[in-house]
Amino acid sequence: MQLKPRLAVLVSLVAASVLPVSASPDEVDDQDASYTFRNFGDSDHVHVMSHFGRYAMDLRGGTRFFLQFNHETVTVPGVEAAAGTQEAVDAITTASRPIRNGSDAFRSFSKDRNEFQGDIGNRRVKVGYYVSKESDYFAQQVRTSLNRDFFQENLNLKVGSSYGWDAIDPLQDEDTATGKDHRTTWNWNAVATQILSPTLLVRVGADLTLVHGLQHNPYRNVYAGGGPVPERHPDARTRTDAFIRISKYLKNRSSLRASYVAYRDDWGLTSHTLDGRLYQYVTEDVLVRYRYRFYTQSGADFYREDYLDPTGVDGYRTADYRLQPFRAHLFGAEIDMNLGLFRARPNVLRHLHLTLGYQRYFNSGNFSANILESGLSFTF
Amino acid sequence: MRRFLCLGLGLAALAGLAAGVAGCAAVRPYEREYLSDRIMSYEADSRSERVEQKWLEAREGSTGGAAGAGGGCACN
Amino acid sequence: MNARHHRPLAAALPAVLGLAAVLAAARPAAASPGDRAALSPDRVRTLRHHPLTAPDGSTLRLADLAGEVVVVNFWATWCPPCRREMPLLDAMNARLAGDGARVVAISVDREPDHVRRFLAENGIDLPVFVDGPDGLAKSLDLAYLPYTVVLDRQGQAAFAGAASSETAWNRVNDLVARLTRNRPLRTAKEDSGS
Repeated sequence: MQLKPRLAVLVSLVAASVLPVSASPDEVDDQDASYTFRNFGDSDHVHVMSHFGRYAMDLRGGTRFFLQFNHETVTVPGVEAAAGTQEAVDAITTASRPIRNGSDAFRSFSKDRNEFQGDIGNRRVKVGYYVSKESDYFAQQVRTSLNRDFFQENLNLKVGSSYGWDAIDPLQDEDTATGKDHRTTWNWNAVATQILSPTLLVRVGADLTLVHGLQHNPYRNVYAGGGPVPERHPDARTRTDAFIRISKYLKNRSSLRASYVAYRDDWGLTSHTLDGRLYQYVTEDVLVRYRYRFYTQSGADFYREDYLDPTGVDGYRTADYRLQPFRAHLFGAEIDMNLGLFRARPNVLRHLHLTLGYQRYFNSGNFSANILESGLSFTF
Repeated sequence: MRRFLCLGLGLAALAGLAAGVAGCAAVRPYEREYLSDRIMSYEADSRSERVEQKWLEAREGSTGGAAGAGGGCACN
Repeated sequence: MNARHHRPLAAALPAVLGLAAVLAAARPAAASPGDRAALSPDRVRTLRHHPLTAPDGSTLRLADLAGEVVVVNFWATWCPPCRREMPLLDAMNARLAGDGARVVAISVDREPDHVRRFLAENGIDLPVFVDGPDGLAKSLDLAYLPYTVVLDRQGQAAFAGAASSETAWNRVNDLVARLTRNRPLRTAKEDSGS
C-alpha cells in the first residue's frame, strides 16, 4: 500500500480546521530558546556529534509555535584489521557505510545530517512538519494531533497521526545491489492521561505504524550459503506498541516516574521496556535526574546467526544486530541548574538554565555506548 | 486480522477505561501545585525525550511509547 | 512465517476515527465570563472574614476594608497565566491608591518562600497573602486559577470569575473604574451586553 504525500497534507489541513482556536487570549508572549550539544560514542567507535537549536514562542489565542534545527556529523571508523584477513572481510561485510574500493574500508567515513522541524498548535490541535537531509537519505513528515480535556481537566485524550515519505539514493558502493528507492511510514497513536490525585498521574497509550519500502542497509552484506550476499529485509512492516507511564510526586521535593512499553511487529520481533526515573530538587535552582532503563527483545523470524541457504529465510537475510535477540541496560544522570543561583545583579542569569548529562548504554551483544550531553536554554 | 481487531478494541477500550477512572474525585485547579512542577511534567522533558527516542530506535529493533499530553496546571 | 504485506485497517481505523470524533464533538470546559452570582452570599461572607497572612507575618481580614473597593485575585507562582497577570495587578493597585480602592492578591502556594522569591524577582509591590490550597481556595471551591473577585464598597461581590482573557480583564477594569467613582452598578444584562 502506497499513499500519496498530498493526502497526508490534506489530512493535516482538515485536522487543523476541525476545531476553532481557543477563545482565551493572553496579552504577553513567552519565548524560550535553547542550544544542546550531544556527543555519542559507541564500542564500534562510531561517533556522532549533534548540535540542537530550539525556539518556542507563545502566540495569541493560546497558540504555541516551536522550531528545532539539528546538525549532526556521524563518523564511522575505518576497518582496523589487516587487509585480506578474515577479520577485515567480516568487518567490511557488515559495514553500514559505502565502500567504493577495498582501500576505502580502511579510512573513516563521515556524513552530515541536517534536520528541521516546526510545530504550531494550541491546547486542542497541533500540526507539524519535519525534514531531514543527508547525502543518501531525504526524509519528510507531516503530523497532526487532536487533544481534549474532560472532567475539569483531570482527563486528557489525544489522538495523533503522521505520514512520512523518504527518498533513498545510496552512495556508490562496490557491493550494493540497491538503486534509488523510497520508504513511507504511517503512524497513528492514541493516549489518555488521567490525574488520579494531587500527586499522581498516569498515562496509557498505543501506537500503530505501517512502514512500506526500503528497510535494509544498502551497504551491508550478509554471510549466507558460504559467501557474502546483499542484505535483504521485507519491504513492509507493521509495528504496534502499547505503553503505560506513571508519575508520582514524593514528599521531599522529588518525583518518581516509571514506564512500561510492550512492542510487537509482523517480522516476529517483540520487545519489553522498563524505564525508571528519579527527579530530585537539590535546591530550588538545582535539579538532578537519575535514570535506569531495561530493554529486552526477541529476534526477527528471518534472523539467523548463520544462513545455510544463500537466499536466507523466505528470501530475507540480515546482518543487522537490531533484529537479533538481546537485552540492554541504560544508566544515566543529569543535572539542571538555573544560573540565577549565582544571584548576579541585575539577575538576568535567572533566565538561563544549564544542563549536563551522562548516559551509559550496553547490551548483551557486546555493544556499548557513552552519551554526553550539555545544554543551555534561555527564557525571555 | 485478529491482531488488528484486538488493537482496535483496545484503542476503544482505552478511552472508556480512562473515562471510567475519571469518575473518581476530580483534582481541583488550586490543588495542582505538584502536578504543575516540571518534575511531574512529561512535556517539560518532551524535547530531549524525542531526541533520545530517536537514538534508541537507531540502536534497537522497536519504536514507540512517547506520545501524549495532559496533567499540569489546568490554568486559564 | 508472517505474510509480508500490510493488513487491512478495518478494525483499528474506526476505533481511532471514533475517538477523534468524540474529541472533536465534545464541548470543552469554558472559562466563566464573570458573574457575581457565581459567588453566593455565604461564600462572600467566608471570603471577607477569613484571616489572611502575608509572607512577613502581618494579617488582614477583607471585612476590615469595608468602604473600599477591593479586587481580590487568587493566584499561584506555579500558574503561568497568574504570573503574567501579576504585573498588571501591581500596576492597577498603584493606580487605585488614593481612590479608596486596592488590589489584594491571595496565593494558593504551599511555600511562602516561593512567593517571596517571585515578588522580589519581579518587583511586585501590591499586598500579597499566602493561604495555601486548603484555605479560602478550598472553602470557596474555586473553579479556575487565576480567579478574581471584585468587592464593592458595601462588601458585595460585583464580579467573580476568570479575568485572564482580554475581554474579561477590560470588563474588570471598567467595573473598578465605575465603582471607585461611586456610580450605581449596572444590571448583569447591561454588563453582558457591553
